Amino acid sequence: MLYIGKKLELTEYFKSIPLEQKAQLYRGIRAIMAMLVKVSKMTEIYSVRDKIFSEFTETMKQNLDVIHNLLPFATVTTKKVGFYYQERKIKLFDEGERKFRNIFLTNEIRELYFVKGITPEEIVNFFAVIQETLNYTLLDYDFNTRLWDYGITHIGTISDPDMGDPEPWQESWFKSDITPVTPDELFAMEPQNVNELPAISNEYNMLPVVDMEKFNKWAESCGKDAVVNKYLEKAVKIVLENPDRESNRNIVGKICEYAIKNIQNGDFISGFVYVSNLILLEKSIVDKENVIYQKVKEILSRIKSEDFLNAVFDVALNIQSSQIKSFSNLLNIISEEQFETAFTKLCELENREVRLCCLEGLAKNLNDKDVVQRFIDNPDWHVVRNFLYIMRFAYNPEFLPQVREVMNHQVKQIRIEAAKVLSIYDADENLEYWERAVFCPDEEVRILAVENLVKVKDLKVKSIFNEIFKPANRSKFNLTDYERYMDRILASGRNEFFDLPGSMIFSENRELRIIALKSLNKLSNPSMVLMQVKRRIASHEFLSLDKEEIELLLGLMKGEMITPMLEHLEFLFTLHGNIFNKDKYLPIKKQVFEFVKQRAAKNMAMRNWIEKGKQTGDSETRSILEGRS
Amino acid sequence: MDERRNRPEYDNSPKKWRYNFSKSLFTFWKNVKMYGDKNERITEEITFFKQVLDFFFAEKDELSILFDGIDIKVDKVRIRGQRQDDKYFEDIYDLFLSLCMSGITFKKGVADEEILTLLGVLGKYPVGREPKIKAYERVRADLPHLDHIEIYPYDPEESGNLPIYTPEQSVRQIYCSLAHDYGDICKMVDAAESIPLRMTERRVQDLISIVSNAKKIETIEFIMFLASIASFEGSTQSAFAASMVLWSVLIAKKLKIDMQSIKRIAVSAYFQYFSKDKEKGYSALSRMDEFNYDRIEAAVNASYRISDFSDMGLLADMSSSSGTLSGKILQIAAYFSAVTRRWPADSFYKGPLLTRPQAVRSIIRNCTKGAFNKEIVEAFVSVAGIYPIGSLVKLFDGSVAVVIKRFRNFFEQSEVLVLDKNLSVGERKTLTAENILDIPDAAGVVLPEKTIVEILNTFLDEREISNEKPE
Repeated sequence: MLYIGKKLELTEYFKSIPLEQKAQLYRGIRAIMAMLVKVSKMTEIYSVRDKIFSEFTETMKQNLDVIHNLLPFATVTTKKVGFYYQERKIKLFDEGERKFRNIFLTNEIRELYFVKGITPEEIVNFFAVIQETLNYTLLDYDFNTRLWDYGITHIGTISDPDMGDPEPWQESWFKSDITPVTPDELFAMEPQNVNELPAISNEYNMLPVVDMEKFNKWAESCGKDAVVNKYLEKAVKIVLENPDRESNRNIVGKICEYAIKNIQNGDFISGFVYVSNLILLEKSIVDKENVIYQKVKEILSRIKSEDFLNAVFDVALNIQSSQIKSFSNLLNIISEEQFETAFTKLCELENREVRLCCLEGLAKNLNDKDVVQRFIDNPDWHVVRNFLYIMRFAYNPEFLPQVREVMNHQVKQIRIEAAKVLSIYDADENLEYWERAVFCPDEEVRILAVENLVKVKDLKVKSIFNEIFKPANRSKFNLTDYERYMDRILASGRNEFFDLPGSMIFSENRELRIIALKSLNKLSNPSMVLMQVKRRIASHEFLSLDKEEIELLLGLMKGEMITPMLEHLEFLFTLHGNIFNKDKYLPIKKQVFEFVKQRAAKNMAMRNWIEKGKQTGDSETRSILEGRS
Repeated sequence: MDERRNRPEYDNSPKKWRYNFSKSLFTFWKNVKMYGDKNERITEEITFFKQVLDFFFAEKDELSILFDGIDIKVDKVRIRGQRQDDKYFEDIYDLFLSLCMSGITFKKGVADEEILTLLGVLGKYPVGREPKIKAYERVRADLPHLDHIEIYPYDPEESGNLPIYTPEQSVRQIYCSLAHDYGDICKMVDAAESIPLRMTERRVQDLISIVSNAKKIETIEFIMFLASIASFEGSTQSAFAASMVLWSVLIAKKLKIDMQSIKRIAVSAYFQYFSKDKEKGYSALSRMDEFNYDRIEAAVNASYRISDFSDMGLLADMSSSSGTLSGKILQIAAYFSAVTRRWPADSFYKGPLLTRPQAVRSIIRNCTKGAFNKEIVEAFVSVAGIYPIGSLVKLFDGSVAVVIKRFRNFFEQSEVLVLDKNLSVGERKTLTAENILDIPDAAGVVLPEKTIVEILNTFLDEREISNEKPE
């Protein structure tokens, strides 16, 4: 991509430099060219990303750095008879030299430049360009176009189209198929009316306001993939209009070829798009004897073969995250016929993100009970767990016995995965399994059990919850468990279960009470526990609760709870200590009154309650409510 | 199996005949070299060789085969072997190289004897040796004077040292090649040949590099003037295709699109209207050896394009753009390049004929109606200005001028070239757009060739480099 202006600049610069260290430069250039000949031979055997090229890259960089310390760029002239450096032939005694030189001859390259600042990445890409152009004479790219495509800015060429003696413009070039205007005609033409100018000027202001951010996002979304989609959409349309036309065979041939090539090159996004269109063609062509149909069918069976699947997994080892979804979709298609092989290969895949995404995709093709049984019985727990992961997305009541079977598996990961699978089925049907799972040693399974139990219609489940919260069973659960259970029960929205957390606010265990209150506070309308809350306020214990618990209790004062709770708190207006401890209730009164005062501005009932307190309360109450205490 | 090139549709393909010429020259020379100039196959060889020459002499007075130290060119076009059995090219290289000969020219009227004499002399010398200038001198001395054949010497030490083009000269070379080759490419659609993309890609890449690195605004203005040229070598269609490439690069660059995408857009621009039939264009571009996104995108854009350039047509036709970024940019490049040209009757074009300023305003108007993408229109207007370069305008003193610098708005000063009474380039004037008027009747006017060359020379002869840098 070395800009023509830059080449010109460098050439001029080169002319002005005295070549005092000519011999040293010559040796350096010769070493580089000798290495490039070697590289060109190696590229016929190995990929340029092979580690064998690392050493070449390093040595070439060192050699170029030495040269660039003397001159900012080095240039090699290519001629039919050899490479030249400053009119001196570079003597190379390698039989590959002629083939390497041929790249430059066939690409009309006269000079090859190495400019100071070359990076190892550019050198590797340069090797790739050599590889791609060494053996092929293609219609679509050559050495120069590939250099540009790779964005190599420190290696450039001067070739035929860049040079020559400037020719003058020739009038014959501008001969037109329309008769040119004569001077008389042109001068006779009237200009526009000058009075129209203001209106014209206004027209330029009609340009709508632009949103470049939105535009850039849109531009990104219609990149290469969108173009390929559009291309194939058109191709399928043309082919289906006339599947017998010979030119359409070429198009379909290319789609088949690129479907395979893209996948083999690890471009799963394009590969999937191509394969999808082939499937569409296969479905849409009515005449099953048609040549195009036969071709498509043949390619699709090749894609669905075991050999191809193995090749796909080899490429997928270094998959990029952007390709995962398409890889999964592709695997989905292949696994229609190769489910077990695809699954086994996936289990071996180390990349978790890819594995999970693909396993999910595979679920569509899981419909054989025997296959389920085989994998569930697999001795490797990794395989069983991966298989269960697929089953999360493969709803089929026929598979239930196998899932239930592993609910008590000796491996924890399998038990958890099985519980997740069981969760996709009707909870009532699995009540007995969930009832047992509540007391499972695994935290994840227990919480899943509660989540499923709250869905069970049978009220028997209430006794299971009561069992959980029984003081005798407390040792089996930790406090976090209780908090989660409480949340799940309340989140279920089923009133029949609410007396359970409601009753928990009377628990002898403070932690449990706090957990219950915290869960209740998460509800926007906790009115279903109003009775219990009123009872709690009226209880003797209320006055001895600590600050946090009272705060949580008062926190339930929202919506329909406000008025009844306030009424039950009115006894505080006249509550006071005895003669020996007059201020005994001052802290609790202060906490409650301050709580209400803070919210009174936005709530009429609270404002009225405060007024009532001021009018009917004792002096202590008045003092707090009027802000004197 | 029958060779593709022997099919009837290739009968008049110059590519085929250039190939035939080189092959015929080779076999003829080898034949004479091995069996002398009186062997039994001579008549057959000479008949075929003359048949090849006659194909070229139908339109030209002479035909050359040239060697410049690297390539063989027949009729100024490089030829090279593309298949395994084309190894004889190597022998032709060696023939020229060994004899230090840079070319042979055959002139119309050449006689069989002259050809035989030449090949007889050439056949006497061994090939494959290190080139020495003396070899040519020996050939020259042996060869009698021939009226219709000329040979030229080649100096191996001098080869490849031609001057490098300046960016402007490169732009000219790119423009001329794009416009010149377009006709041949169009013919390939009907001949069912594979469309060669490499040279188009190469030119487009160089153009993008030049636009991206332009150090002076004049380079961009020169490109815009080239885009305004109505016709090239008698073809409006060729000039239109080249104009599409130039405008698409300028617009895409303004939108800060990445270089690779700009290349795909520009390649698409070149091929968008190369076939009258959308599907033929699509199929022609789909014939490819290797997977190539540029081709794919060009094929898509060749099948979605504006068919009716009228306001109604623009709004009614849902297939006027592929809906992709390139499709949307090409809509504007195509619209501006098409409506500002007067088209021959048999062209694909259907729509209004507008002056350049009218076309800019029409784009804005149609943008407000939803026909064009507003961000792309804004980029286009900021590149083109209110009186785009190439516009013909009238000054208040009645003189006619050509806009050669962009007028951003009505108040900033810019430049025009006044045309004299013979339509020769006269004074260069600096003024504001308030002082010039569009000439509605000049829509689609084609200036005489002489005037165009004079204007172009003002760009290439530009010695002063302005301080104004391109945006």
